[in-house]
Parts: sequence; C-alpha cells; structure tokens
Amino acid sequence: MRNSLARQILEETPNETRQFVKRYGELVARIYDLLEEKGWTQKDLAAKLDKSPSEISKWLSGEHNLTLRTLTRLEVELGEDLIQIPKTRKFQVNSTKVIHLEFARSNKNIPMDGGGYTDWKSQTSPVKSSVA
Amino acid sequence: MNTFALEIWDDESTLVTFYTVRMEDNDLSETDKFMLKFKGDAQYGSALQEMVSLLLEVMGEEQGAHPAFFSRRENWAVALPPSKARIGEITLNYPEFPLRLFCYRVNDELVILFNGGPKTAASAQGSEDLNMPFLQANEFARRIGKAFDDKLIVVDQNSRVITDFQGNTEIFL
Repeated sequence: MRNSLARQILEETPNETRQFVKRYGELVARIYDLLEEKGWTQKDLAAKLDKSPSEISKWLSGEHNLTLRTLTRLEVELGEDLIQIPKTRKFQVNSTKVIHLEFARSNKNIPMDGGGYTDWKSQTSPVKSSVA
Repeated sequence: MNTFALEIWDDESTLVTFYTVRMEDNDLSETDKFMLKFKGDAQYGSALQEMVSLLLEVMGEEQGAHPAFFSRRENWAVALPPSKARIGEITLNYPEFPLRLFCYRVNDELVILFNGGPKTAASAQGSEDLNMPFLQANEFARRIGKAFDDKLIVVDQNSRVITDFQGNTEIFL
C-alpha cells in the first residue's frame, strides 16, 4: 500500500530531483561502507588526508559541497572508486591495417614463409615492403 | 502523552516498510501531518520532494534503511537504554538542507517515522518549529523502545511487519 500523500509528492517531483537524490544516496552509502570496511573513523580519514577532523566532518555531514576534486581525493585515500561513469564512446578500428616493414633481402628471392633472413645483416640494401 | 497507534505508513517499497504513529484522537498520522505541512510550500516544498524520494526510492528500492541516512542524536539516548538508542533523524547531508524528519530505525528493513520540521538553529531544541516534534519523537521512541524491550511488540522478519506478542498487527502503545 503506497501512502497516498507520498504518491502525490513523488508524482510532482521533477526527474532531475529524483536523479540527484539517487546519486546522493549512492555516494553517501558508499563512503559510509568503505569507512566501515576499513575500520576508519572520520578522525582516521582526516589524518590520512592531512585535514582537521572538523573539516572532514563538514565534508561528510553536508556542510560542504563535495567537489570533483574532493571526491577524487577521497577515492585515492579509500582506495576505491566512488564514482563510475560508463564509457559510451565507441572506438572505431579500421578494417585494414597498413604495416611498414623494413628488412634486408638476400640476393635470393625472399620466400613467403619468412625464411631466408639468415644473411640479412650482411645486406646493404634494405627494402621497404608494405603488407596490407 | 496519550495512547497512540503504531501503524504502517507505506509498505509498497521492495526493501523497507515504513511505519508511523497516530495519536488516538487524530485522523492523521504524525508523518502525514509533516507531509501536508510542507507539500507545495514555496520555501520547503522542494526539500520535501527530495526527502520523500530519499525514503521511498533510495531507501525503499536501492539501499534499504542504510545507517548512513540516519543521523544519530546522542543526547536523545538519555531517554533510552544506550543499547536501544536507535532514534535518529532523516535529512539530506548537503549544505542548508532545511528539513528534519525524526524516526526510529528498527533495522535495515523497518523504520518508524514521526514528525519533524525545518531546522532554523544549531540544535533541534533551539529551532522553534522543531522543538515540539523533537520532544514528541523522544517520547514516542521511548515507549516503542520499551515495548520492544518488554517483548510487547516484535518484528516478524519474514513479512517486515511489527506485531504485538499475540501476532496482532493493530498496535496501541
């Protein structure tokens, strides 16, 4: 049974607000869990970040807006990602590659299986070949 | 304080059942009073939307009643045995979020919501509109905590429901 007032309020809530609260909740829970996993207090975290305990308390209790820089500092100290952003760009790979090889050829014809290179160092006329 | 009913406020969420309290001589629960007071309000309406989203969507569907969302108030533990001091307040921890909703966190799946208001001073007691809900929440929590301690009410873990010791869901304290 959904509370009718709560239903009305949710229906009137902009999607941007709901998305913000969702991200907020994920971040708050994640930081809490990581601190607990490591057995750290806020004082421990402050010492590792070379900050005062009161400043860390402000970070984590809402008196300070967490910037991207602050978040990345926390990530480094906690040793875990706090934010993961999915990669959406697809890197295209050309279906053909052009590789340039430079090698020395003996007076004999170069066999297709790659043999015939034992004397290559003695050759003085390097040949460039393109392999598609 | 008169007798109050302990009743379900919302049980549609996947992870959490929210209870509330309703004074015997009232038609509205304390939580509905809180919601009605700030719904559509020019100053606090947006904050209320965020709070409801936090309750029903974040806690209710994703994180459960995660301890991270409940600020514990150590001074309230004076009224409760320290081991049972589960009273807290729900708020969003970013600068100047104005609203506080007092509650009693039973476990990860059960939360009892009370009333609340805007925090306009450094402490709840100092905030004009928060002082009375704070005192009432203390009393609600004290009586609920004692009822749990005395096994007058119990939690049915399988169904996320609070019942009296005889299994009845209608509870008056």
